[in-house]
Amino acid sequence: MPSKSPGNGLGKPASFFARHNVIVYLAFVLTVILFSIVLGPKFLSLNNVLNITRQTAMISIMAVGMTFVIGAAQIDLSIGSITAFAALLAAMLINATGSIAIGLVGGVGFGAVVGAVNGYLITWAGIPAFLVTLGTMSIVRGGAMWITNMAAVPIQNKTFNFYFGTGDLFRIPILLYWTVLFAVLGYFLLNHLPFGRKVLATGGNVTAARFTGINTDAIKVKVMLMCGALAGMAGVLYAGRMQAGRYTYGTGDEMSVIAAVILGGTSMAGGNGTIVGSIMGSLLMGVINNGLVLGGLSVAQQSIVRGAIIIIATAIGSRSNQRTN
Amino acid sequence: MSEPILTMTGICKTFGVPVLKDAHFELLPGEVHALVGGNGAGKSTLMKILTGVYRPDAGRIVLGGNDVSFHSYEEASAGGVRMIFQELSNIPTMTVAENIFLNSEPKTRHGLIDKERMNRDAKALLDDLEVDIDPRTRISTLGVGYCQMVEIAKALSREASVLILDEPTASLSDPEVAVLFSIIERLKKRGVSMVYISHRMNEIMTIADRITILRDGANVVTRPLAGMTLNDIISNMLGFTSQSHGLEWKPRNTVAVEPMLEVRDLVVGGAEPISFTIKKGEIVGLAGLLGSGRSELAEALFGIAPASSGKILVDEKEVRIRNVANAIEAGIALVPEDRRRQGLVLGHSVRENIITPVLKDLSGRFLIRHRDADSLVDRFIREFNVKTDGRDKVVSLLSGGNQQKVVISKWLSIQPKVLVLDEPTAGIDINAKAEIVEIIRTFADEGNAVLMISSEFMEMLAVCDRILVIYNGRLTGDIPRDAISSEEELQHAIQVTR
Repeated sequence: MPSKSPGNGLGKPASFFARHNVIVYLAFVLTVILFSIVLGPKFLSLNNVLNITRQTAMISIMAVGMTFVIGAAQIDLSIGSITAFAALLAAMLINATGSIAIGLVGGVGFGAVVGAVNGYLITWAGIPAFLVTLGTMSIVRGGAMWITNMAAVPIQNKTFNFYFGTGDLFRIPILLYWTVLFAVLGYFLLNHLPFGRKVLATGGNVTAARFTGINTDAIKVKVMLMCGALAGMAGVLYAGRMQAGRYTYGTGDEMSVIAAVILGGTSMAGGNGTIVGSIMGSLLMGVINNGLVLGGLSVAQQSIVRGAIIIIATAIGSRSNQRTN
Repeated sequence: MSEPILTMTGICKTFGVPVLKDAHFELLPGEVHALVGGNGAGKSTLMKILTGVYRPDAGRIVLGGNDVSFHSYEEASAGGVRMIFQELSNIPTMTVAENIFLNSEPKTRHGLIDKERMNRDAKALLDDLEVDIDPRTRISTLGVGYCQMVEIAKALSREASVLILDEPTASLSDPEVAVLFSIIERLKKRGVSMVYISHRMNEIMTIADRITILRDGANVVTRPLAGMTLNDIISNMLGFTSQSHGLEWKPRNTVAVEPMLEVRDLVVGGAEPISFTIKKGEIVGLAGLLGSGRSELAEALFGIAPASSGKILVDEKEVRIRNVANAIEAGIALVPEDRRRQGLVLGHSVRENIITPVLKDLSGRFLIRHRDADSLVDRFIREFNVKTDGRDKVVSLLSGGNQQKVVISKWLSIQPKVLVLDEPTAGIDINAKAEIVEIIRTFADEGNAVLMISSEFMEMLAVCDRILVIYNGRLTGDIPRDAISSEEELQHAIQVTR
C-alpha cells in the first residue's frame, strides 16, 4: 500500500467503494444498459425517461423522509396509508373551498399529525416503531376507506392538477421539480444542519447520543413527523397526478420506499444514510418497474424479478461493506 | 492435605507486553481461594486462560489429574469449570428455568423441550441452594441478587468442580451478600472449589480459606488467610512498587482558591447527601470500590440520572441539572466509563464524534460551517496526537487510547469548566495513558476543575491534588495528596467504613 497523507480520509479503495455506495450507481447504470439493449430505443426515449421521473416522484419524496427515519434506527410502515388519506383529504378540501393552499396544508398537515402520533407512541409509550406504524398503517388505511365510503373524489381544480401532478414546465414534468426540491432540502438538512448529524448519532448509538446531550426522544419524534409530512405531500401529488383522491393510493409504497433507501446505502441498523443514494435507489426501482412493463412481463413476473433485484443489489452492497470493515 | 483439583503452572501470556510471567495457581477440593491483585496484575487473564477464552503461550493446566487445554468457554464448561460473570449473562426475557437450562434443555422422547422436567429440575437446584424463587419467574422481574443466584444455579446445573466468582458482590446489597456467602459455605461443604476474585478485602477475609496474590503478572504469595491482616494483603498486592509507569506526581503550580464546582447535599439514588467543593485549577480524585456509587455521582453531575435533591454550583452560580443538555450548558462534561457504549458512535468518523456536542457553535444561522468543523477536529488530532489516517476515519478502527482521546476532544470542544472523567485510562496502553494524564493536567492548569474517578491508584496519586473517598454512596474521606504517602494507604481508605 502506498503511504497515505494524513487528513485525506479517503483510505483504501474498498472503503471508497462502501463510502460512496457505488453499488447503487453501478446497479443503476447496468440496469439502464441492459434494458436499452433488450428493449431498444423506446426505453431511452425522452418521453419514457420523463415518464419514469413522474412515476418515481412520490417514492423519491417519501424516500427522503425515510432516510432520516432509518438513519435514526426507526422505521415507518404507515406512509403508504398516509398518502391515500392525504390525497382524499386534499381532494375534499379543494373541492369544498376552492383553495389549493387549504388542500395542501390539509394533506401535508394530516401526514405530519400521524407522524407525530407515531413518534410519541414510539418514545412516550416505548413501543417499537415497527409495531406502532404497523398499527397506524392499518388505522389510516381504514380511515381512508371510511371517509368517503370507498368512493373516489375527483378534483375539478385544473390549476391544482397541473401544478401538483400532470403539468410540465419547460417540457419537464412538474413532479420532477417537486422531487428535486425535497431532495435538495433533505440533503442540506441531513448534511449541513446540526439536526441531520443528531439524527445519525441517535441511530448510530442512542446511549452515546444521550451521553452527548442529544434529546434522542425529540429527534425520534421529529423524524417520524417529517416522514409523515412528506408522505402527506406525496399523497397530495398522487391526487394531482390522478386528478382525484382514492383510498387505494400508495398500497405497498412503504416497502418500495424502504427498499429504495436501503438500496441507496442506508443501513437498516441506523447511523448512516445519504439522500442522493436514496433518490438513486428510488430511480433504480422506477427504471426496473418501467423496463419490466415495457418488456411485456406479466404482473406476476414483474413482482418476482423486482424482488430478486432488490435482494441481489443489497446483498452485493452489504458484502462489500463487510469486507471493508 | 488432599490432592489439588486444579493446578496451573508456568503460565505465560503476552499481548504485545507480557501480562502473565510464569504464573501458577492451585485449587484444593472444597476451598474458597481468593485471587487478588491490582488492575493489570493478570488475574482476569489467568482466569480467561483457565476458562478457554485465551490460549496460554506456555504453561500446563492439570484438572482432576488430567492435562487439559480448553479452546473455548464451552469446552471448559464441559470440563467442569464454570464462571459467574461480573456482568450477569442471563437473558432477561426468559424464565429462571429457561435460563438455567439454556442450550441444555431436557427433551421429551419426541425431541420437544420437556418444560415440566425443566421447571422441576430447576426448582430442585434452587432448593438445594435454599433460594426461594419460582423457576417460572421471568428474569427481568428479579433483583440483581436473585439473578446472581440463578447464575450460580445455572453453573451448578451440570457437574461443576471449579466455580469462578468474578467480583460477585459488586452490585449486591449487604443482605444479598449475606445470602451469597451462605450459599458459598454450602457449596464448600459439597466439595465445590471456588476461585473468588474481588477487590473487597473485608469479604475476602470473611469467606476465603487461602489467597493468591498476583502483581505484574507474577505470583507474590499463596498462603492460608488465617493470620493475615488487611495491611498484609494490601502491601503484598502493591509491593514496594518500582514500576516506572511514567506516571509520577508533578508539582502543580496552580494555587487553587476560588471554588469552581460546589456540590451541596446532593442526594444520589437514595444514598446519603453528598457535599464537596472543587476549586479552580484543582484535580480531585474520587476513589471507591466497584459499586460504591462513584459512577452514579458522576452521572448525577452530568444529568444522566439527575440527583433527587441538593444544589450544584458552577463558578459560584447555582445550576439546575435535569438532563445532559443542562449539564453541558452549565459547563460540565463527562468522559464516561464505557467509552465504546456511552462515549462514541463507533460507526462514525473521528470528525463526526468530536463535533456532535458543538454543532450549535459550529453553525451559522442554518448551515454547519464544515470548514470550521474540520479545523477544530484537526487541531485536536494534532494537539492530542490522535493516531488516525485522518479526521474521516471510522473510530471503531482506532486503538483504545486514541478512541479515548477522541472522547476527551469531543468534550473539550465545548470548553467546559468542570470535567468529570470516569476511569479515563482503563484498558489503555501506557504511552496513551501518560498523554491523557498530561491533557488532564493542562486542562486544570487553565483554571478549570477536574473530578477523576479511577481504580488505578498509582495514576490517581500521580494526578490528583486531593482525593475523595466514597463508600456505599457516602463520602468517607477527603484526603489531601500530601497526606497520602502510598497507594497502600489509599487502598486501605476505600476498604473501611467510617
